[in-house]
Amino acid sequence: MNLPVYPDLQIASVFIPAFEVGGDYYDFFEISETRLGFVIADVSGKGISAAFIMAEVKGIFESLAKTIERPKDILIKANEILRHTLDSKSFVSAAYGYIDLIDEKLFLARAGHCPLFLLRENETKQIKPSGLGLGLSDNQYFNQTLEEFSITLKENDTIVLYTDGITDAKNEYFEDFGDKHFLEILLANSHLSAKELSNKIIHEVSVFSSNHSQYDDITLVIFKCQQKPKTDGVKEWQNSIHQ
Amino acid sequence: MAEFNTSISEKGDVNVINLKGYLDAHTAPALENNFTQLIENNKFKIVVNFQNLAYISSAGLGVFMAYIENIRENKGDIKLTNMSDKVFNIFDLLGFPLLYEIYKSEEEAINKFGAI
Repeated sequence: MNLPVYPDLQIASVFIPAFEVGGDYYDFFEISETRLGFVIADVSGKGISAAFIMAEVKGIFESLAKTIERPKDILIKANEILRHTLDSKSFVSAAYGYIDLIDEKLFLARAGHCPLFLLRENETKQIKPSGLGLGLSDNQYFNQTLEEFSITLKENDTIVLYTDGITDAKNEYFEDFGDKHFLEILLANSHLSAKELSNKIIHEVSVFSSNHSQYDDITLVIFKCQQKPKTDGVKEWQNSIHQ
Repeated sequence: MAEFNTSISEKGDVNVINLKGYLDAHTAPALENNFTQLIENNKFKIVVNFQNLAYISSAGLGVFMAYIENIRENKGDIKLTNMSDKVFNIFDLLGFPLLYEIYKSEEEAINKFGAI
């Protein structure tokens, strides 16, 4: 996937499909020059049926992201559509959000998906606003329980989105990679760039599960707010040009 | 292939499905058969005991959604009990505690039906 390019924002993403077709999906939506939308989702089950649903989910988010702004409203609409089209055994976990680079804010709503991690100043914060998986419930109940989260971003903040293919990766003893291990790696490597951190995580998961076949798709999306040049520095630089 | 099996025990007018092993897309039909069988026999008060369940995949979670509407329309319910922290976290992430009653013990779940 060609990653979008935005000023002061590093973006990295990885998708590693499992042997059996899974239902992971992620995408970016270049809403404007200063606003970037994103989605990460995981369809229940595996195989061809999960792949078909994933294709439908992709179409739904592509069209909704063009017309609706708020993450909460997008997930409500997606639930409304999927509630009618999915069979009663299927559902989709998803998180949709956007980063506004002018207001320096992140907005996010979560429909049953893995939490988002925010790395800031050597601390890791798990962000898990309330929300049911898509297709699990009628709209009235889905809407009542869906929260929207927003946060003002700071320089060097790192945002990590993932699917459970990472935390559920198994070693030869059938042990999980796990949330705790994942958090430790994030904390120890929060100084890295988005791309370096993504490489580090995938490396650690590969080493951990080297003696066990990959059972589930792995998806990882990382944003990092770059350090901006100091205002004084810009002025000095401009002055030097004019001299 | 990972093993999975179920057993059903009757406690008054409540039926308890005990799960054991690995519940995923390959093993889910066994649990689906249990629900179908109970519904055909008009047994709509169901407790599912997770005590011996080692793993549940998203396809396994889907089984619970497939029958709940029918069961509730017939004034019954599926109540869930004895989940390990790991299994509870999977249900919790998807928001299942907003849709299902989840109890620590089987007895508590049965009592909620007012059966004993």
